[in-house]
Amino acid sequence: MTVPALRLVPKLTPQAVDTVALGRVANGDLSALGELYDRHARALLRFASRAAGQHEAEDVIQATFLKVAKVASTYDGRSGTARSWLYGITARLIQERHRSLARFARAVLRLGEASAHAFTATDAHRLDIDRGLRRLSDAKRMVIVLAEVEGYTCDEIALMLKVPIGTIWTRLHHARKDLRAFYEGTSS
Amino acid sequence: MSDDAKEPSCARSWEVEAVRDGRLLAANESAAVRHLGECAECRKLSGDFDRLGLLLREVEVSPDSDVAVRRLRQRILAQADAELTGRSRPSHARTRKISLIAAFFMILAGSFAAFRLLPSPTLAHRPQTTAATVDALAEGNTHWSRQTETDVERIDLDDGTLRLRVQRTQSSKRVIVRVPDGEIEDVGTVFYVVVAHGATQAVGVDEGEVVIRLKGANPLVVTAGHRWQRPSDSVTVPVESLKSSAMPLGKGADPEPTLASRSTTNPGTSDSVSSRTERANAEREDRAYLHAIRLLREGKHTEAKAAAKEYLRSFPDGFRREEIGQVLQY
Repeated sequence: MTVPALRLVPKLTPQAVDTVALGRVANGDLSALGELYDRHARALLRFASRAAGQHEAEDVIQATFLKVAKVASTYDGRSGTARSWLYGITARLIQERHRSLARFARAVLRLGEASAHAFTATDAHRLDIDRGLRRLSDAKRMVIVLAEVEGYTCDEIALMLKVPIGTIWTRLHHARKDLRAFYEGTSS
Repeated sequence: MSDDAKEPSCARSWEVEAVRDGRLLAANESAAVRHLGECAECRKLSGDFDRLGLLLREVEVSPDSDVAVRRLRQRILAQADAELTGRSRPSHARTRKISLIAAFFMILAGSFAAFRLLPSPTLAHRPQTTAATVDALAEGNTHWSRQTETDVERIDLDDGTLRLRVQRTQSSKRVIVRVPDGEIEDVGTVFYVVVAHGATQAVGVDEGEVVIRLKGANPLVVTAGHRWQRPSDSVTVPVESLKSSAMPLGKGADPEPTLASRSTTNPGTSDSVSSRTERANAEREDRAYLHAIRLLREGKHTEAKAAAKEYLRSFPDGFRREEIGQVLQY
């Protein structure tokens, strides 16, 4: 039996590991797709749950990784880290899905939302903020979740979503304003 | 958060957000930060934004269970595999397109054959899959069976050692050995598989290569002259026994880990103890499932049903929930 020689190799940074894995995926190596999944799926599932709702998160992540299998060769590092690139794909997929269901979603929201109200306890705050988040448009919700929850800078979000940074600033401003308004019981 | 929803009266309140969002140049940013120290209204606004961020981070997202995450992984890899290898079920539009192309080639091939007056196989016959020649040699009390499906020559190996010689052409059906914890796909090969205690213990390849797909692990390619062996949980990983298709050893990257090492090297699963527990549970689940199936095959339907119920009781979210449900219908 042939025993391949082992040699010491430098330890790669997580970003380098991801970049190598994406290169392998681009060459049709699905084990690398599995490795990317193992590293990022849970974080992406959490993000998708916040941005699209828990019921959609799995579908979105499945679509994300299938898309990665197809477009891995287009990743060149210029659009941020592999992790932020994955977030970008997830965010855009959520927007695409919702765009096609926008009218329906708006109707559901109008039916499902109770009037805004004041709050007193911390748990109630969380509940309110979640409801407030659901009331935001996809574009605003995506940006505020990426900025405030995932900790990405506006530059990174602009690269991820492929929109001008000015648009990100505007969306973020309106998202904060809407959330505060909802929160403070002045939302109509 | 403020109870007062009034617009701030300070003309510089916009700088609070501008600082947070990195909109200001360094000099302006310092001035804005200094202003924050002096203006109570802007300070309050900044505090409101901080609290808003904190609350957003605290919005509860119930974490997906390990089983759900694993199942999703399996689904994604299976579908990506099918799409990459063109095995996915074609859509109606695609089917029509393929039919048209096939018809075109049939006519072309028919004309060509008629012109040459040769009874040679035409292109129209090429898409037809043919059975691969599979010689199987079972050792001792090996428990196995063989089935021919539309596109696949399937061998189920429940226990024991099976040596296989597969001769196939490009149009041959896929040859897959199903083992309790996954499957091994042949790619024109002489190889053997050892299964014991409901799990694959070793796969050795003499010629060609095979792809091993075990539950909870990435697919592995074992090439001629190599052997994959299930490492014991506490033993050092036999790295030399394994070779990855895309990342061969000695090419400047980490070697593909084996099942045991994967859980310890994977940043996504930092706790190797919990990984071991998870794997042990998966093996227990497999054993319970195989037990029910074995009883069913032996014609002991009542015992098989009892075993199936026991499986469902012990593993309500088990991987084989659907299959075991069929046992209950016997």
